[in-house]
Amino acid sequence: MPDLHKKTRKLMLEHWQLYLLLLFPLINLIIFKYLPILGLQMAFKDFRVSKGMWDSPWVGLKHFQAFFTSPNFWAIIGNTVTISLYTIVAAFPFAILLAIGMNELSSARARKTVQFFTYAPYFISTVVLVSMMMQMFDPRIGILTRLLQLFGYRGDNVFGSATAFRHLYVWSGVWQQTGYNAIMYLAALTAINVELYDAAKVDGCSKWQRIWHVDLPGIQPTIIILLILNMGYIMSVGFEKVYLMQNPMNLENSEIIATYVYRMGLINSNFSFSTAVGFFNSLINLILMLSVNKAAQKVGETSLW
Amino acid sequence: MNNWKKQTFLFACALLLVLAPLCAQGKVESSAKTDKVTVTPVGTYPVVTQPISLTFLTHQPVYVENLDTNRFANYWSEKTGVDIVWETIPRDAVKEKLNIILASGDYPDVFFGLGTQEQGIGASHEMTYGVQEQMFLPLNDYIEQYMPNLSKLLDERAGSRQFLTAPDGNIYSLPDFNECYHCSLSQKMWIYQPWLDKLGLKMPTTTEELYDVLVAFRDRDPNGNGKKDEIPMAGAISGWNNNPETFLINAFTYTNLVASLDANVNTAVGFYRNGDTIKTMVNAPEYREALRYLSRLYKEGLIYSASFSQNSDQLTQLVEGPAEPIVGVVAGGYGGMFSIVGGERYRNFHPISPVKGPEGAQFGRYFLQAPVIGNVAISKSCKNPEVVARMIDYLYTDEGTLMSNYGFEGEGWKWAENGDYGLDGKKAIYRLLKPWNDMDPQNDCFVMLGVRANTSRIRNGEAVNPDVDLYSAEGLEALLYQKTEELYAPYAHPELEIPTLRFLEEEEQAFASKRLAYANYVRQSLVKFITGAWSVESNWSEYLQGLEKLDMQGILDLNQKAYDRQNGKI
Amino acid sequence: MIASTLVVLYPIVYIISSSFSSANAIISGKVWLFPVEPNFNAYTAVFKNKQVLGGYMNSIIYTAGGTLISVVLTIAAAYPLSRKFLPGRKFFTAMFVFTMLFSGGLIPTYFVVRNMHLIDTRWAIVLPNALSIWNLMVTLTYFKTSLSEELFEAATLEGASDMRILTSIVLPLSQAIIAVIGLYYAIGLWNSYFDALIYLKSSDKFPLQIILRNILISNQADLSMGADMVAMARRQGMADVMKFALIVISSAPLLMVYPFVQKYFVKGVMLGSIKG
Repeated sequence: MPDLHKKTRKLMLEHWQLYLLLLFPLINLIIFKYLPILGLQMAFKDFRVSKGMWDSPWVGLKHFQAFFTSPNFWAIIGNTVTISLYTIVAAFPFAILLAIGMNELSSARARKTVQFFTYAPYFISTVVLVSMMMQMFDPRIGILTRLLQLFGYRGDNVFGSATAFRHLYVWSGVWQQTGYNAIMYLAALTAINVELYDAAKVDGCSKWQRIWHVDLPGIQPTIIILLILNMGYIMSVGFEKVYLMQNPMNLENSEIIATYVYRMGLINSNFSFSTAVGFFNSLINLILMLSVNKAAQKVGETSLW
Repeated sequence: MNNWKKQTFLFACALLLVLAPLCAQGKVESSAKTDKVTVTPVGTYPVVTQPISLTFLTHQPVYVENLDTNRFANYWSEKTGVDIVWETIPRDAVKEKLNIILASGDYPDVFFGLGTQEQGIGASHEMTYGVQEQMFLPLNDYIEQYMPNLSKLLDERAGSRQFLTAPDGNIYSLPDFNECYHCSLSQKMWIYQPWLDKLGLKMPTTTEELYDVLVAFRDRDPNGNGKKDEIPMAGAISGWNNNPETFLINAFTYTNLVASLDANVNTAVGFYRNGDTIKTMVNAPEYREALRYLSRLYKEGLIYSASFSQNSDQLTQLVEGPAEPIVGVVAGGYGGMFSIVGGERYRNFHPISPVKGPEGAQFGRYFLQAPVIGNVAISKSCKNPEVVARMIDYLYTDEGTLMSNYGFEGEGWKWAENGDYGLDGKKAIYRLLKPWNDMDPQNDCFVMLGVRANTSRIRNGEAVNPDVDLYSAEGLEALLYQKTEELYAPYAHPELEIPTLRFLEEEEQAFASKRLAYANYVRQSLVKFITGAWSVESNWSEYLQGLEKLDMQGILDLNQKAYDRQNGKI
Repeated sequence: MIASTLVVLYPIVYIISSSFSSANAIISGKVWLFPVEPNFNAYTAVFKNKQVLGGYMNSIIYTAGGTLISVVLTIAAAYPLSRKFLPGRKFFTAMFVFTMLFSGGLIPTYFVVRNMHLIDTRWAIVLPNALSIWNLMVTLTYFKTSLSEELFEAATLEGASDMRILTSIVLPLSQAIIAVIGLYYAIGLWNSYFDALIYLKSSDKFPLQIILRNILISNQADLSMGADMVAMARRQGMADVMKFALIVISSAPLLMVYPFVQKYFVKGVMLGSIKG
């Protein structure tokens, strides 16, 4: 293969500018991400301040065992994964729909207004969001409780319902983040070649046909990449919101890895343990993301690499 | 195509190895480069023969503008002859930042004001950094030799030294005393007096009387608006003692169990002490009776259905929001936990004594007023621990405490005069000249930072106006004191509570998840039984089996072991 | 469209109204749509803290500077990696993606930052997390799909170097995506407080979020203190109103920035580029 080797060398030299460009982010990456990754060894050691990271004793899988043998371990993992998947599946259609809808608005003013208002909820802090939710679902006077009851809901305490927990969590997330997420799709929409739109018009396509045949395929790569990336965060369901929404009545569906580990109390004093949990989460995220990426590669031409 | 891949990979590895030292942590260094200095005789000031400087790591409290220019800090510094170099951590980040500092080895001379109430140094830190790693200095000898004021306080309080001592026999941090009388019996229930009056009912004293009152509240329209909108009893799962279940279970057996998930998994799950034996009540027949009672109340609509899922804000809205009052009986540590202090509805809620159960049980949940640990720890690298000990001891004097809390004499407080009486009715010690304010930045004193001897003697020694309206905002402290004494004190049983237990590191690690799972289970089951999701009759044995599966016996044994260990010392 | 606007509108109005209401009104749950017992108490309480103004300044510095650094780094990585012929492309991409999943955690990262002597410097806020792999991947995808090969071929034929191509072709055509990642980075930086908490010591470098949180926390009753009950009661009420005011105060600047970004989302940026 000497020919290929030479050819590669030549390519590399020719495009030295690209490598130079790449150098800067790489340096940042190595220093601030890869060096700390060396710290992952703590997951397999018993960290001792007096000895430092490198000289602390090895304990193999002790911390992982401690984590895996927690009672209800599988239920907790199950909750975490279910909530994540549910969020992903629920959120992305709305973001896309919103982006397409905004794109269709002819009046720039209308578009800007809609964008502005849908983008605003993202800034509401989690604490306030949850407290607003609790008010709207208040058993006595909550607007949304009344609405649900109109539709046949027989109870009155939505926050006390274990089954309702997931829906509450996910849909409030959709409400909060759709506008923010739609921005990405909107940008992708603007990059679609205008000629395609012209061609569609010439062909006499209706608005919906155009959306289906031009818009959606045009942003398909973005959709797929975002889906794959989202898979990389499956195990990382955020702590704060779940913690605020948890109560003894919905715990069986609301205990996730982050809240469980937090309440174990070791998270801040036992670094080896928390590193082990983080490592485990990362591993699962990696496996899931790689699988979805592989699938994407088989199906189409978009994938991470 | 593999060559370049290999090369790049090798290059990357080489780069990593070269840069790896950047990942290393420093050794424990002394941050104040000072030499050893001699201490002056105990009881004299300044405490050193020549000036030195010490680094104090603390959190940045909102109520102090700037520690470097703080008047009390400077007064203390001048008096003792020690120049304090302050390093601060934002209050928000104490947990994370403190742990990073502890892990990095960059220690100050003194860790100040970073105790358990700030989510800082707690028993497990003392275990790890004290016992295990010896990064904190053992303080026993320093207390003996250099801290007469602290020693006296400890001598006066039986068991306090044990409380501070880690399993290896050493004390690793100095206590902060803040003894609040009414807090010791703060699981209180309050009843809306006008409704009792309107319906011609007396204050209930037994569980059955309470039941009758609740039924009357529900059915007889005490708020007179023609609608059956009354909520006989309500509570919440967050907030200070907003949970109704604990008060009621205590009419059947003593308990500290609460349904709230955030409550401590060791001290609020039903473990109690019988002499020197640790026991649990979560499988007792008395508890089952209590559950029967509670589920009966719930089933008949006498307890508000969201009491086990709402927070105290919602509870307050329930009480204050509607045009007519709709809540009859409510749980709370004080009225502000469910209403607006000093307001119209607030005034009408009167505390009721613990009620007596069918078998005669009548307990008030007791909260041991133990000192808070972790507020002063001295690092191994400090060259002058005696100096620190002598300095800190000043804060345990009356004058030190009053100045640290309230500021300078004549400005924030003054010594009481003849004719001034305190909260407890005895002769007062001091009178406040400015109202207590721990939310606005000021720079005269420490307010609550660090350690002090805010003992019950001092707290109750605050001069009060004898004619104050108990149910006004000003009368709050007096109200709480008097009502606790009158209605709850007779049922106080501190001997049933277990002092905070300390565990060895292996024990912590082995049991951390078990404890949590156990606590979650007990709490969830409690709520299930009350709401009827589980039947007290048919699901009881299933419940007991669940307890066994979660190794309740193992946890009991562990607690017993820790207790015995602590008692066999000093 | 109308439905979605209305759905988000009510809660936002509620928040703004609450921030101008009295503490008691909020505690009693009397606020529904309009301010009840309107006053500026929460706002006064926040702004009378001298550190707030400084916090605003710092946040602006961090956001502006950090966004610039981040966008530059992101493009510097995305552009080379988007060229399909580049040897090592997959390897480097994988290297970047790996760090999105695996992280050493807080302690090791702290050590690195410390050993680089960046503790208590402004760099500690903008450098460690300068590159968001998420944004990088999105930009990369955008480059790969929206920039056609013909463009590059045409340019190379004319003798343009890689850098030239970047500046005259790639950047002008990527305005939309640059605007997006710029916005995302800016939002992230403006809202960030955790890095500042951990890496900064001097309060004159604190960003707005930390100062606001300190004010909020000071107003939350800390029950373990057993402190004066009346003061505690007063504080609790104030904290409730402040939560809302804080949202308004801290998000207002970002909301105001957004319209400027919107103008980059214009259709037809690709128009005529091929024909040139």
